[in-house]
Amino acid sequence: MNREAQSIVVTLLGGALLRISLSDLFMRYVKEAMQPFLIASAIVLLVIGLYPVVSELLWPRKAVAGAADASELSAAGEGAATLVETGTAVHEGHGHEHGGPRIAWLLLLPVLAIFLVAPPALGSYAASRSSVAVPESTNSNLAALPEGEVPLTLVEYANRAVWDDGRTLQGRTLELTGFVTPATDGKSWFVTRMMMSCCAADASAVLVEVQGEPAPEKDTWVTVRGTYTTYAGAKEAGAAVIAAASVEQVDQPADPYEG
Amino acid sequence: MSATTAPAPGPERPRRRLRIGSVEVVAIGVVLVVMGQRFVVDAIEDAPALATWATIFVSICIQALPFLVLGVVLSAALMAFVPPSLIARALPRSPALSVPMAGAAGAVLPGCECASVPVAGSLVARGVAPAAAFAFLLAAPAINPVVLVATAVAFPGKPEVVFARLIASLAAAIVMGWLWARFGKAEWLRPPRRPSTGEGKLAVFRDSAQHDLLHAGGFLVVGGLLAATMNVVVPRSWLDAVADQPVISVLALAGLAVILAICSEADAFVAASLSQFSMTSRLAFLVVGPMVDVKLIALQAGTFGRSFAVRFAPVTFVVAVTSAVLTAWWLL
Repeated sequence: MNREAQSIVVTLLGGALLRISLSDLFMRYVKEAMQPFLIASAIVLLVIGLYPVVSELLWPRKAVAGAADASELSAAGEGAATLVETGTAVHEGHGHEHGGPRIAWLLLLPVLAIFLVAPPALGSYAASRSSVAVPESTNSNLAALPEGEVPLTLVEYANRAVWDDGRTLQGRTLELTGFVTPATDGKSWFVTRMMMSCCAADASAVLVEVQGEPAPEKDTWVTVRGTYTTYAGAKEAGAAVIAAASVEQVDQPADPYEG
Repeated sequence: MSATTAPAPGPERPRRRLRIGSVEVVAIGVVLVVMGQRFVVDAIEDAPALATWATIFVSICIQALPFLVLGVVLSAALMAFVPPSLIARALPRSPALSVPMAGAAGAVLPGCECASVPVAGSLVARGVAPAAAFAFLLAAPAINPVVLVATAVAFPGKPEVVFARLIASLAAAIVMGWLWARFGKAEWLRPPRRPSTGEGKLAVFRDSAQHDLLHAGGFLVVGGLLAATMNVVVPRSWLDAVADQPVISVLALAGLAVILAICSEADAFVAASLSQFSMTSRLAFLVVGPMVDVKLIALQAGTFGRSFAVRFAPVTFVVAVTSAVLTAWWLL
């Protein structure tokens, strides 16, 4: 890998990072709070990657001096570009990473994945592999909900339903938004959000079973309006249930995860 | 993917006017990939497992990059602006003292394990005894304030978990440093490279940063590929089967920490969610994760060489598990 290629890889990486962190795309992979750090590191990458181009434009002689270490390996009298190429070739022959490590080519994989595919946020496939257990509430003092129709996060609903026996949910009309995960037995379905503490690799699913409405196609985003109902099974299984009055198809929210 | 499978430039290139260099390979690769985009996107839409794999792979890379960049910038600054003698003189000669000092100094690096590898690499290049640098490398991702606060948030009302994590991690890091001082051999380490090609400190900084970035970044991708594959292939239900076996559960969660390669700033939340497991095994998860995981082993292999990583990682695993079990028995 010669110097130009190194700079190209670093610049592409910075560009890819900047591209996703300036749109909502990055929220498919990491938490929203990461955005400033993503942008900052993208800028650092771009500066490092573009530095040779800029410095060659501004100070042409300095850029040539950058190849000085290669020059001793090669006969004098050739152009600077050839010196760099030759120096790199010798080192690549050793399998040694002097000019630029070959493994760095792999950095193009995430770049290509971002620019070409931009893999979707985790959906029903990941959710169905996750356990249905609701993590025990960290908030022992569950305050009463405000008046009217209340939108709740799935994790809040599940917490109140499973660890507080739904006391604060009784008699209220609630609104849950998530994607559709069919149950493995094919009879019931869940409205689902993935919960992420840092990135998608640590995500786990929060599932609330929806009763009274037929299952939409899996992975569609829906808002379920309904009321709390008790879960018939063992509490250890920890599934929360909502009795749906209506299921409405919605767009995927900008941040598809709950945190 | 096509770019990497494209024919690599041969090691011995004839000196012709027209030759296939790295830049040409990039260009050809890009053309191939753009032509194949439709196919790739369709394939991913039809295969949710593949999509999940790709999402996890990309998110591991993206999540780690800011920390890697931070580590690379710090280590490049160390290379370019701090005179070699200064750091070496700041630490005592005797490993009995310098190892614990370097381990405790890890508390000031606010990042995860991706940041600590390049910094430790440049510490070695700057003449710090490897034993001390490794104590720093292992301790920094586990005992810095950001990670400890995250642990406290994940285990509310249980400050002893934070305390146990701090003690077990620091102890394991110090033991590893001393083990290296006693048994380590210099030839296992790849000699640190000094990328000092340009003129002036700024050019040294830039060259060093780019080199570390490409190097560590490439290995980060290897680790991300492995971790994403494990994440998709290994079903979590396997874990539930061993949750109530005291010994196996410790090894299972320690092993999970290795294959999941979760950032040390997030692993406490995952540990908290593994509530079917004993506190001892969850502590093992928290101590092993920042010290040994597939992404980290790849990064270490890249920075210090393969013969280092194959020795260092397994020993660290054993020491970290032992330290976690002893600390849990004492404190939890």
